[in-house]
Amino acid sequence: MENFEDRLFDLFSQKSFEELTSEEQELVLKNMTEEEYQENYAMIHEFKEVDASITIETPSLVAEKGKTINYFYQSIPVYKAVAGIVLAVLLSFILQFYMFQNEKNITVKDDVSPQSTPLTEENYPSSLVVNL
Amino acid sequence: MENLTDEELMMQFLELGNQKAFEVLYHKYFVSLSKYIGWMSGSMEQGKEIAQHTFVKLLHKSYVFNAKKSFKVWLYVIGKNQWLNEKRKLDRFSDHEPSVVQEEGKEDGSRTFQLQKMQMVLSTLSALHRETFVLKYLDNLSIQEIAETMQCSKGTVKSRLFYAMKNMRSKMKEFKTEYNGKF
Repeated sequence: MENFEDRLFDLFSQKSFEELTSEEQELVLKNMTEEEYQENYAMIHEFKEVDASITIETPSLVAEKGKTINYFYQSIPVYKAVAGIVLAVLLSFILQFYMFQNEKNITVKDDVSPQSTPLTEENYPSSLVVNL
Repeated sequence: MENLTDEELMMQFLELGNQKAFEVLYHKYFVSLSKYIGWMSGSMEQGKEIAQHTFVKLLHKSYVFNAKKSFKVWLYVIGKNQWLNEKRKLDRFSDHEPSVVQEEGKEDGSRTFQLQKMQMVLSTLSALHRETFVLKYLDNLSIQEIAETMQCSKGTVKSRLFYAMKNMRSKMKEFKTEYNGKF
């Protein structure tokens, strides 16, 4: 029965009710009336005729292959746009950081002599005073 | 070349770089894919455009093709996804809802009438029912191929087809009454 269901949908487009064999007619009538079958057959044929009357020319495949893509008119996904902006901001921060590093003048003292404050009674740290 | 299956042709293109094999597939499926998208979107011109994009995508992503699966199903799935992406982009910028199939070229009164009638009948169906009907009767896919394309069971496909045709029959009757046999 399942096979006949498949076959039934093919029969609609292949044979009118009169063209069906007596066995096919019998099986069709178990599923629908003769009128319903005939309506399906006529409707499908009408659709097929209209479809066949539509002409579409097949463009040359060579021309299609050589077609150039204008990237200015291509849309891109939102995540790609966001990723691009984040990357641009990060790059600008990195560039600024390196430029700032290069601008820093590091002064090098040629003569660095150790200087110490002589300890006197006035400047001696009080915490180090031990009262005996 | 004509004796080869679609999958064998695709493998010829992939493994041997046989451009002719790809061209055979392109010429075999371009119109049917354009019409499928055209019926779904309501514009044959858009259908053609999407079909072109689909084949370009196929050229660039051909290495992901699995020879054990149907080429036709693979092509229709890519085409459908391509159209859905395009539709999403368009929906974001406008609430444009194409309802009637527009076709380029000469205007033939009775044919345009027929075309509009068919599109109006199809537009009364849900997107899933419409797609199932178009794939089955206009693109001649088998129930199994439709099930794979739409990622559902064969039973679901049959049920959708049954209800699609039931709704279409009643819509056709309404038309006949409304237009007094004009259609």
